[in-house]
Amino acid sequence: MATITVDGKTIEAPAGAPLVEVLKQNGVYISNLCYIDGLKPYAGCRSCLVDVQGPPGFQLSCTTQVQDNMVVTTDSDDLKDARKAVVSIILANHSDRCLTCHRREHCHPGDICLRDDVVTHRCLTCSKNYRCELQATCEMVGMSGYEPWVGEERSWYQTPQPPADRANPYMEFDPQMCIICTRCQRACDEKRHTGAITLSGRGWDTRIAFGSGGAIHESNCDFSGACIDVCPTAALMEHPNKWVAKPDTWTTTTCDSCAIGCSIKLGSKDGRGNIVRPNASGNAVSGDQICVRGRYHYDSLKPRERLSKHTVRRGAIQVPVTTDEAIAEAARQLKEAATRGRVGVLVGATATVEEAWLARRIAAEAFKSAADSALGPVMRAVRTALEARLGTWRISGDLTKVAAAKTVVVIADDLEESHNVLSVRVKDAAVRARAKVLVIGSLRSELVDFAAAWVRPHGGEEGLAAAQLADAVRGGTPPPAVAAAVEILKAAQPGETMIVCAPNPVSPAVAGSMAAGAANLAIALFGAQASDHLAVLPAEVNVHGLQDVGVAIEGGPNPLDGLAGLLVVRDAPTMRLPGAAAALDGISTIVAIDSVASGAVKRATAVLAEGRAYASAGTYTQADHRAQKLAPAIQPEGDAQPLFQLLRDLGAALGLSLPADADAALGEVAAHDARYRPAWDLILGEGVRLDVPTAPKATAVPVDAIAAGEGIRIVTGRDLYTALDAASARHPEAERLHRYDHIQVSEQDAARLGISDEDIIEITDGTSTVRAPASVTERVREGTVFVSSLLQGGAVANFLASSVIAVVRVGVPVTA
Amino acid sequence: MTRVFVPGDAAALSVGAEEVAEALAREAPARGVSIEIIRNGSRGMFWLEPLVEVETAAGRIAYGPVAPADVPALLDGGLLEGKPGALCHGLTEAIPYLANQERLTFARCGVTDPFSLDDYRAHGGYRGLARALALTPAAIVEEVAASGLRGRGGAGFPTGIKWRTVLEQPAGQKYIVANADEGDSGTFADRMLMEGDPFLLIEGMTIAGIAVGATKGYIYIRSEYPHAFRAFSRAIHIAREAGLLGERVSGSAHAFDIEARLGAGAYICGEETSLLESLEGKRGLVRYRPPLPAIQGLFGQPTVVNNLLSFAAVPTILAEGAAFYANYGMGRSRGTMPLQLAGNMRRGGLVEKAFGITMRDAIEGFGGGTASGRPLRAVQVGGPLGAYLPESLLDTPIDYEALAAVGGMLGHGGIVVFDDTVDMARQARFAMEFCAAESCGKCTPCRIGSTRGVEVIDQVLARADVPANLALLDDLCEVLADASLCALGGLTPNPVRSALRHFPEDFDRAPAVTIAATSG
Ligand SMILES: Cc1cc2nc3c(=O)[nH]c(=O)nc-3n(C[C@H](O)[C@H](O)[C@H](O)COP(=O)(O)O)c2cc1C
Ligand code: SF4
Ligand code: SF4
Ligand code: SF4
Ligand code: SF4
Ligand code: FES
Repeated sequence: MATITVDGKTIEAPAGAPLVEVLKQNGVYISNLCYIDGLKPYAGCRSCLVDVQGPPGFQLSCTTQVQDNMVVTTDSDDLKDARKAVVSIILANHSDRCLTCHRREHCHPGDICLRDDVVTHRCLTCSKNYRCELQATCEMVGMSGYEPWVGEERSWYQTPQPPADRANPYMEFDPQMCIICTRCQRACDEKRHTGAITLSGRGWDTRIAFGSGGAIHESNCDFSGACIDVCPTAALMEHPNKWVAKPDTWTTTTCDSCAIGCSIKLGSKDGRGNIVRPNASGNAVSGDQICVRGRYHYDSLKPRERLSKHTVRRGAIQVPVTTDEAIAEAARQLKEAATRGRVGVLVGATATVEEAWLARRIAAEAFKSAADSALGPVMRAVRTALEARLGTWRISGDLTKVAAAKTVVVIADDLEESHNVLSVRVKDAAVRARAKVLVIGSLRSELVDFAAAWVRPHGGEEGLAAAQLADAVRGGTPPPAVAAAVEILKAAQPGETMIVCAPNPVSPAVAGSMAAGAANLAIALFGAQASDHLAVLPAEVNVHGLQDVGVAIEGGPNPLDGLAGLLVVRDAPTMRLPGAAAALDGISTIVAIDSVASGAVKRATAVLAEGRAYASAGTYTQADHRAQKLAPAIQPEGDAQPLFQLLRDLGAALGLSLPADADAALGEVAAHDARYRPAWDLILGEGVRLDVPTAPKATAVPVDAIAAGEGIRIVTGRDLYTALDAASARHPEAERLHRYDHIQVSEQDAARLGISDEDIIEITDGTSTVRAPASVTERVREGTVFVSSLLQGGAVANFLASSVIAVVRVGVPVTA
Repeated sequence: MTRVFVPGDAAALSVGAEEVAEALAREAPARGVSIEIIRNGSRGMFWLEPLVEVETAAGRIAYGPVAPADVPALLDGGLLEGKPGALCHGLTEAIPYLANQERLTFARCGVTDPFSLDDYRAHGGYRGLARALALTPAAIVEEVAASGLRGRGGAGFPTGIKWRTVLEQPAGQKYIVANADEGDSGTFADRMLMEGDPFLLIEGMTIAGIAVGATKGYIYIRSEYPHAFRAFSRAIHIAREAGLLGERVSGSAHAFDIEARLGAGAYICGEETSLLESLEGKRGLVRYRPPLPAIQGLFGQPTVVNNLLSFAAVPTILAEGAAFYANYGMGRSRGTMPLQLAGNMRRGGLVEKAFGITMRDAIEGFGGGTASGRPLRAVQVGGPLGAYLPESLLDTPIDYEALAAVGGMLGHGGIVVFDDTVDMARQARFAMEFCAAESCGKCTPCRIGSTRGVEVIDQVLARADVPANLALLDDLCEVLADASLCALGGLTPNPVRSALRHFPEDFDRAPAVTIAATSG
């Protein structure tokens, strides 16, 4: 701690802290247009001038570090003038309409604005009006309404400004609003380690550029929007909400798109989501980062594309009914089916713990069955592999340790794509902690650029490769190709090593093998402490929560087998299970609860419309058993109801007495499983790790090679961009960048088969066929094709019927 | 065999030295005489280039400027015997321009074969290193400090103090970086030395490495100097082969090696922190200080960054002792300064003199006044960021402090002369334009303020509301001076304000306003 004097007042502050931060925390505002907490100072805007006793001239408060006995002046007239002078120079090169309009705070819809525009629901002069830091800065330094360089020639108005980049669906860059503070560049570099943004040009022509200066989507930007979060002006903004009115409500909740469960703030207006920001304090793993899914999938479908009416099938058509009618009819159908045979319940892994709890009780109490999930076979394969080796599927590794680890092993299809923010943490480790990263994966993921070694097994053999490394660590002689990897592993120290495994989301065989290999490796390295160094990331956000309440624990290889009736709780069997469409067609009673027209909804005899996860209150238990809270951030569309309510009312109609709200439900869960007690007490927005002790056993079990036929292997996995719910409705824009609605082919195979980019090709195993444009890339290895697990509504699942590695023939079809 | 010297220096080559050498090589044997042509560096008398020298018993006789077509006649007229004639200037050493100089750093430049280590040694080379190897690192640093040597690249910071800071950093990787980005208008001393006496620089950098404990040196050469880059790279190779660079420098326990890098082609890359960024392979953005490069420089390691001339002064200091060097000069400016006369000057070239020579002596005595013969109106010393000084200040001595007292700066020692046809308002505009073009783009005042400056001066030139615009210009200058990160933005007001102060008549017919607006 240091004691400093600021304008005569004494302040205690940590020595070495940036002075500008300390000033702000103590209520002294100093303009700081290039400085932002969390990024290294830049010293570029020059607007943060203060006077520090000692050195001559004014000092920058962003690069000045607090030292004991420092005497600081911030409020002399000279300083105020100097700061104003600097800001006025920035304004000389910026649109100043938002500043000179004296009515900018008073415009209402229908007003005629000063610029003869008709005001609709927002100011028309700048998309960032009201939330622009430059605007706020002007007010704070006393320049509100200031008209810089009035009546003069100004290069800014005379030089044509470069056009805005609006060529991608996610992010707009408008250079004329840019003040070259480089916050975006530093965020992309320091926080994302992506380096998609650079400064180009020189002197007056200095500009922010993406990649080598082309469009954003042609750079290696992955649309995390970390740059948007720090941009003080309207230069970088989300495309979907750029001109949308500001939200009326901000709700802290949890991203539903993967098991990292990033904490987000979802802004909404009139009950509809319109912006997402990371909630820096909510989840210790994700911190202030989210990925493109978290930021944009609140908008994966337009509101009108979601279900807004409950329906009942009459003959060939779905007839809208009231909520009460729908519930009654659904209950009647299910009860009737139960008289004919077994009624199954499938729960999707974006359901909350509480919703899953109700579904499980309905299954058990109304139908005497065990609730399962379309992900069930994969979940069971992973669980079996882990239990055989560690005695439990609840693995104790803590993901907050990844960023500071010295050795990180990643066994995954492509962690960058499946669990993006954790991949950022792996990069943190590589860049900041100089960790050695070992990647085991068949795909050339972006993490490979950060890896000290990359083991590239053939598609489907990742788990086998990990198990072989485990054997080599134990003393076998490693094949020369993996010697570097073995060196890294042998040097790995307990307490500063993390093994991260993200098993495949659709193939039980591959997923089980990956988890088994990862467990063997952890055991080889750390023996009894193995599980403390391992994290197994499930395919969907609340897989662990589902298992905790008993969903998908029991079940066969195909949850759709032998059913007379089926209740589908926001689940997508057609995306996960081979031959699901035909199987569903064979079930005479299907009640589907969903917010989108999924494959199950289309085949349902009764549909209950719900409001997707962002309308829910409840809990997710994410990858490292961290409980994260959801709060209703949006309203369900039309007649749709929150999922919890529908389940509760359906339960009542089935004669059950279920908890009235999510809180009561979690109370029941906590009573049944004491580990959930802390989660029950949780304050919204914070996460808490459930108590997961070190696994009771650590016995390596050999991992067998999975059989594979002759042909080209399919590698599949989650891609970064496709929205799960839009994919389950087979929406053509489920992947808006159109990168992953392609089949990825290796350069070698493409050359051999005469395939070029964008050729329509098909892959077939004789029974199933998928046809899509080709994309030729070094990402996939020779002899494999990559098909996103969400392509064409999860079509790839159909190739994974047996427990062998799926092998297909690839060809260019003669006619389309 | 008669030895004939034809410079291989880029300045000489640009006026046909190559063709002259070819003509000599052709014509002499045709006359049955065999000659040895040595491609020396330049003597720094540019109006005489290509300057051909012939070695005679009496000494070297100079002929110049020699055109290829002159060669047959010169040969026939007894050039090889050193006979006087049309282009003959007698003994080179006796040419007043050279004779009146005090050449320490440039003592060998133009005299020796730049790529001959024997020649270098024969002329006193590597005595400094030999002495350094016998001293402790701290003693070397103290020797340099005691000599009073100050940086020749811009700010005139005491070299010894900089080295001491690096020496005091904990052991570990340290670096030596020679700044040869030579971006100042009208300067060429760095280039001349790299091409004319490269071993001197290698020796100086090696001594620096031994002094501070650095094993690796870089020289960052201006991208417009490909010839110097090749020459210097060749010299590095020769020194390495001779064991003067490498694992064991001169057979000692010290390791030191040098790598030459071509610059990024931006003026700002001469600024030391921007240069370091550029050496690291990044955009040449200026870094804020602290940390000083001496503490966290190249790749975050302690680094000595000095101008090439600063390093080049060091072998003399070690060979002859600090006192010898400090004996030259005046006040706190010790030693000699290689001045570079350029612009509208009759005899442009390199003049190395002890500090204390007046600008008038340099410009009139050596330079011979304006090339146009018109009255001198303004002088700019120290590159594009230096002040414009009027004729009335020409008696100011060349000395860091004396120049500063009249608002000027010595910088890299470039002196550019303008005659009475110059329009100082346009020169002021040029300064702002230069800043706008060369800014690294980091800070607001420099990147945007300079363009505002151009706009405002344009208003003045258009005589629109002159007093208000001059007041605005002065405000701008104040922001640039007070709020810029580095000297590019910070010193741009120098030429602007000095032009306003000393040449108000070029800005307006109402000087009262301009004087009021610019005092301070
Ligand atoms: C805009 C700018 C350009 C500069 N260009 C050069 C240059 O071309 N060569 C040089 O030696 N120093 C240049 N400098 C000075 C260097 O920053 C640095 O002070 C110098 O290299 C230190 O060496 P010295 O102490 O030996 O002078 C420049 C400084 C600024 C601000
Ligand atoms: S969206 Fe993310 S990856 Fe793209 S430029 Fe911004 S910070 Fe970088
Ligand atoms: S785009 Fe925004 S964050 Fe990036 S430099 Fe411009 S104003 Fe700053
Ligand atoms: S990393 Fe996962 S939880 Fe985080 S924003 Fe992306 S999809 Fe959502
Ligand atoms: S003053 Fe100019 S050159 Fe120097 S750091 Fe600032 S922008 Fe860059
Ligand atoms: S905040 Fe300090 S210079 Fe920009």
